Amino acid sequence: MAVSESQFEDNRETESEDDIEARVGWRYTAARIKADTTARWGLYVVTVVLFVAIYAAIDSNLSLLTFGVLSDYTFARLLPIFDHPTYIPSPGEGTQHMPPYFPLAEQPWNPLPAGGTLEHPLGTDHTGRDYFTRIVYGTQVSVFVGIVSTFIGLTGGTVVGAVAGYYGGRVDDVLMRIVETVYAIPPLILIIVFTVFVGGANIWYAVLGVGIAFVPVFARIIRSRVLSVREMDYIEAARAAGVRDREIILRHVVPNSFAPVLVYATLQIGVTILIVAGLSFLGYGAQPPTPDWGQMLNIAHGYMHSNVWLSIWPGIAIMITIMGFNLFGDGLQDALDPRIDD
Amino acid sequence: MSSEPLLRVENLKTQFFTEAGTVRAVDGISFEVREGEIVGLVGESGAGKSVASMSIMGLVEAPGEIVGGEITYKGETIFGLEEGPDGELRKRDDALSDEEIRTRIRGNEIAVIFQDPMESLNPVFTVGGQLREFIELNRGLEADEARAEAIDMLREVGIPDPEERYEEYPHQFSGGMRQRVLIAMALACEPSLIIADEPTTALDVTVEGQILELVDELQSKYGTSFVWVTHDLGVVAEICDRVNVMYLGEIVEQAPVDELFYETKHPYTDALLDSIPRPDRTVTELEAIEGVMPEAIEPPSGCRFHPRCPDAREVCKRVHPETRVVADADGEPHRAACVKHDAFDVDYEGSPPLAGATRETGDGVAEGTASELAPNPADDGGEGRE
Amino acid sequence: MSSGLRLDEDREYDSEGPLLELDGVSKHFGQESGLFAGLQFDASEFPPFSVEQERVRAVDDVSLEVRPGETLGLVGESGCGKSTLGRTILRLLEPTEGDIYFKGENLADLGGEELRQTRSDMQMIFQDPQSSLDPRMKVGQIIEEPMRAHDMLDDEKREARAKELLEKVGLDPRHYNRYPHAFSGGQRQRINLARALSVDPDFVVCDEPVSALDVSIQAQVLNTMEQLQREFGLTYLFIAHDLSVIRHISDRVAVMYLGHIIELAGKEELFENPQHPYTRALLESIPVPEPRENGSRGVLEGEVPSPVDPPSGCRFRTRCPRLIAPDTYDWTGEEWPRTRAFMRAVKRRTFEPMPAARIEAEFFDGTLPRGEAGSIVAEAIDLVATDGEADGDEADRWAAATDLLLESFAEASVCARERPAYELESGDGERFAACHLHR
Repeated sequence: MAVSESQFEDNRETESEDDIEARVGWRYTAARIKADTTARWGLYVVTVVLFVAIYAAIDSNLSLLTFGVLSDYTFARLLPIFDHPTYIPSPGEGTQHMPPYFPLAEQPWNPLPAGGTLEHPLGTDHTGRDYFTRIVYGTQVSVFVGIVSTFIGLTGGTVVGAVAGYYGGRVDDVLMRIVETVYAIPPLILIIVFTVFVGGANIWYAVLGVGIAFVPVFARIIRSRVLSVREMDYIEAARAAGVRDREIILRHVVPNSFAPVLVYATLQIGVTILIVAGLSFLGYGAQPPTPDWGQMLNIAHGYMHSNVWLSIWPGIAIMITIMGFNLFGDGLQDALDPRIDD
Repeated sequence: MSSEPLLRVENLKTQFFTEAGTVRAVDGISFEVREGEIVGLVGESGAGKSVASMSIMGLVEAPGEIVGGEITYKGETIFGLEEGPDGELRKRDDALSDEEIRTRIRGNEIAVIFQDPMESLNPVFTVGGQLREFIELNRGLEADEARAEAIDMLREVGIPDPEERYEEYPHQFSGGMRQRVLIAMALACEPSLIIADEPTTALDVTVEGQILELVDELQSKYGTSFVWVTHDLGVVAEICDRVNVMYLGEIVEQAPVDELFYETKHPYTDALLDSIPRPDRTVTELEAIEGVMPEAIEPPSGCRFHPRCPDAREVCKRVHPETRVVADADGEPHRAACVKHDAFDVDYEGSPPLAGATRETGDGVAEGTASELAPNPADDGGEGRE
Repeated sequence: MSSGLRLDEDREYDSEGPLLELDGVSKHFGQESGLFAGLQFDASEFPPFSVEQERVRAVDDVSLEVRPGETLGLVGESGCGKSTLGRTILRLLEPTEGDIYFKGENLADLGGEELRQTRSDMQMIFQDPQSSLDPRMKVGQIIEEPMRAHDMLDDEKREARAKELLEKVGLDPRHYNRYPHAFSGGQRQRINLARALSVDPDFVVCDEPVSALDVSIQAQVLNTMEQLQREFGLTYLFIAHDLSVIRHISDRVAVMYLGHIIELAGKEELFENPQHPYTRALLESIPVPEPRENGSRGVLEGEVPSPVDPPSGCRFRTRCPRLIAPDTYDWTGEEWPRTRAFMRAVKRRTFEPMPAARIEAEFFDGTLPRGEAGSIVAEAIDLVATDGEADGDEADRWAAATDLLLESFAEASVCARERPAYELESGDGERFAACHLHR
């Protein structure tokens, strides 16, 4: 019988004693991703991008948390930046690390962006900083921003969606109506209003704003899953066994509702990178001299005529990163989809 | 009753080609259906009974394929295979084409009733509209004639107030009423054969009673033959004339209904009858069949039932019994595939009983033994032997 | 052999009284849900909005007792409310009304943490072997979960107990680390059993535990359940639609129809001598695996009415083959059964329009009942006959005839006026039948 095929497969999978992980869990998902070409290429791109981001963070000896210092434009302008590319003795207080994309010593201050040379493969920007290095460091900001804001949206959305879906009734009504209200506002406007409201343009506010703006999306996805998971007998079995609600949500509801959200989150990282780049472009996100792709584009568009490449390079960087996350997300979707069965 | 049966299935084999291996869902079954007769196809899930019935209609879908056998309907070959010049199996020339089967056989000559009536009816069209369209298509009637015919059919299958209900949608019908609509649809073209795939399984017992009553009535009126696929021996006893018991892709016993119940010749049928709780008397201890049905990918050697059979002997492991005539029931052959009958000359009596067989050792193994706790939970090991 | 498995032998319940007692338990569901559920707008009233919903009376005023150590079978067709009742007893659903006394304590009054604590005494086994086990948890975790929830034992002992239980239910303790998908339906039901028994409950609600299983597997699981009942001293409420299974496993049987318990009796009494026409019809419709007993198949007419607006009095009266004659008229001989049959045929429109004479011949053998009843019947025939004198649309005339007949006869019967409830004497103690035939 056709219906018993899956059963046959189950039997086959249990033939080996060690193969207890089959069909659920990380190891199984990883195996499925490995088998999927799209997912594999996505994974490669994401890995390279992440590697670059992490490398940049380690190389400059900067912890991710020092971005705030860097965004102080005045501070950067006042520093004696002509002495050494990365190493600046600070009066009285030993040494001060500076990121390597600051203008190099041998390079005179050049108010106009220059083209590519062997030393500066992608040329320099309008302040004479190496463009390639800034693109590389921009990876750090973009990827970090994409992951953190998606994580905020995912966590908030999971909590709201799981609670609304699991309890249903009035709780669901109230939570979902709030979520829908937020959802009804165009995200970019919501974020801009939010950043202005909480204290002005700042990459942190932008990240938080993007995260909050996407809570509704995640909440709705997870709620719809929870509504079907909630009807499963094992939820009722857990209730009948006297398991606390909190534990039912954490141990049964969320893990079983999570697959589609995870896929969406991967795709969402790409989208948030784009949105934060857009915000920076509009001046509401990362502030100079933080090397953010969107903010670089913002500056570059003033130099469209003198050096169009200044606009193209960050664009390419954004495109590759987003493509990587999207490919990976698509592949993950297939890998986690129980209906696709080989 | 003519000598040529309405439907003859010979050595039918249907297999599913999966990554895990070839699933021999139906493995060489032969049976026939005569005019005006209800033939049961009984078995547990996984026995291959549904696949067998779908094979008759040519409705097996990939990765499944009919790989052997011959199906003859009213003297015409609706399915047959022969070996081509390069050793490949190909369709025989005298077999009907797919087109002919679709237009001439399906619906007109052989109709099907499925288990879940909700899935067979389109929820966005009215019940009457669907029935009318079916009649229009298959019988070439004009729309208003077909409508009148559809209403007649609805009344015929006991749907109250058919004019009103003609305009209603499937969700407005109860499960029993939907099944009646399907029966109306199946009967609409006055087919000679209806294949009913567990048509009452999803219904409540009182509704099931109503449907069985209706089938009885319609059958005596139209003389339609039925192939009735079910797992319920009660239903079999109620309506079938002759019965085929399937186990793991094979027919293990084939007999008129009375003989099957009272002169049971195969240990599986026997065990099945002993294991069911009875509505008509109190059974204090159920004699459960040990284990579960193995996979059809790698069926057991010899007799496929031997690992669960209370009568199994050493010879059963080696010899694969073909279904043979083992007794005569008023001119009807009573066939069974069990070597304990004299028709099989394999020295069953002289063969030592298998360790797991319980008929000799009383209630068998009560405590856990190594063989019972086999590593694979899906084989017969874990399923308890109580 | 069971000593190690009983966790709470010191707090054995006094086995004199019932273990569980239901008193007038009802569970109604609202039809709609959402922010504005049930909001009605009526411009002619003030205020023009009112909140009113159609209520589905899934379980309506059910009282029964479950005695310690017994298996009470609860049988009925789909939609009769048996599963809802099972869940309401465990307070997985809030009862709309009524009291549920478990070991003398009213569960309906408990809430939150107190209620959660009682769950270690009452467990449930579910119908669907596929969805009742979390696919992302290992068998061991599944079985240990109820123990963890009630802080029973420590990690090590929980694992030992889980393995012991696996063996008890007929599985290999080495399957402790497997995921549920590796098991067949029957084996999953055994895991379900092990989970339910892990906290050593006294009472288990079994909701169709074997109906999803193949016949040969059914017997295995039923046998295991019986064995565990003896070993753990369990009390079962066994919910099923399959009367054969109920007959096999129950000590006493309750039959439900449309939210009411209509009969409750000892198993043998109920199956051999049913006192309610519905029970009788139910028993007669089961296909019996005896080809030689093809005699009577009691076929019940019509369909179960909607639980939103159930019939008054006896809920089975609209289909009852023995609906009692209204005593406002004089009946002789076959007059009432014929009138009853005619009334139902008109209501369901099961016959084609035909002349009055043919209707009379078909339903009344040519002679209408005498007296007032006869004139009402004649009026109804006139309404539906093709040669009748009444005007109007055919559908309206049928509706008028239906109303006339139902009002004059069905509604006048004692079955429609009073809800039946009779305690009867029987061989093994009292039994209950909700039928006015026992007046």
